[in-house]
Amino acid sequence: MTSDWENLTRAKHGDETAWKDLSCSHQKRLIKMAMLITGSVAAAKDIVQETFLYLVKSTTRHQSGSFKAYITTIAYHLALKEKKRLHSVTELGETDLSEQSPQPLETVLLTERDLHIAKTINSLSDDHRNVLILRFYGDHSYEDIAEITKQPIGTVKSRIFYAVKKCREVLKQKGII
Amino acid sequence: MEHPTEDKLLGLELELLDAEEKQRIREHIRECKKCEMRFSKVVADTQILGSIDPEIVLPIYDYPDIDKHSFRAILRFAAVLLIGFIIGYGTSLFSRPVCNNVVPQYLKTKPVEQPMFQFTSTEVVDL
Ligand SMILES: [Zn+2]
Repeated sequence: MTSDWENLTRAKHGDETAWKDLSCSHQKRLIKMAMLITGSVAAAKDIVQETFLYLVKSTTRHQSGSFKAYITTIAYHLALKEKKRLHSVTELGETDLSEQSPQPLETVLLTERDLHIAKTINSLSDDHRNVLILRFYGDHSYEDIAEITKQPIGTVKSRIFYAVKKCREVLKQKGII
Repeated sequence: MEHPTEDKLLGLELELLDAEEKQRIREHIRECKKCEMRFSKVVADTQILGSIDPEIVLPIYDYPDIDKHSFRAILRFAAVLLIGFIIGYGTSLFSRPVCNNVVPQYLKTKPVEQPMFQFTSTEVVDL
């Protein structure tokens, strides 16, 4: 089976099948993460597209270690940037967001339960929420999360503990769990 | 034996405990029905947090065609160069160089009809 790193090298040299393999393997996971970070489905899809473009266009310095963590790092930082941009647009009071068409997260959450969970996760501080998203939706190890977020592993562990504990409390109060 | 706290159970589920503590709590859960149930609840609650399942239509990301584009650009550039060369070479074949016989035009000096100075040197001195 071809590794993701090999597929990346092939994709960089014009192999469209390698490109498709890469995008199929990571697309859904990355979109979910970007969507939960930005709160927008449309933005998440654009971020993931930009991630793949960056991957193929940029010069990869190393091809060792976790490819999953590598690609998540790109998507994660693009998502943070986009979240900041969307937030500043909202703060400026610009009502015409049709151009950006953010397609809020709520539009793709089908159950009341999912909506409550999403709102609970969203009520956390950025640092706690991002670690939780990377762990539960990115399926990353604490070591990877430390690398992606550029935080010490101890900080990551304490944040995930607090984030889950807090969410449990809120969901209990809401009667979801 | 003391029952582990809720935080310890959560720490166990989140793989945050050191090996020794993990082993101790695991053994306790095996022997204590109450804590086994408590731990099951912690596991279920934690898993719920990662269970959001949005209905997303996955987009198809087209291959960016980077190599093809740059290759085409090189081809285009080469074609322009080639056409330019052919046109230049062709033009040079069909247009013959014109030989101009240069006939030297010697100046024919005419005798001075009217002297430039009508005054004599003595008159100039007198002025
Ligand atoms: Zn017990």
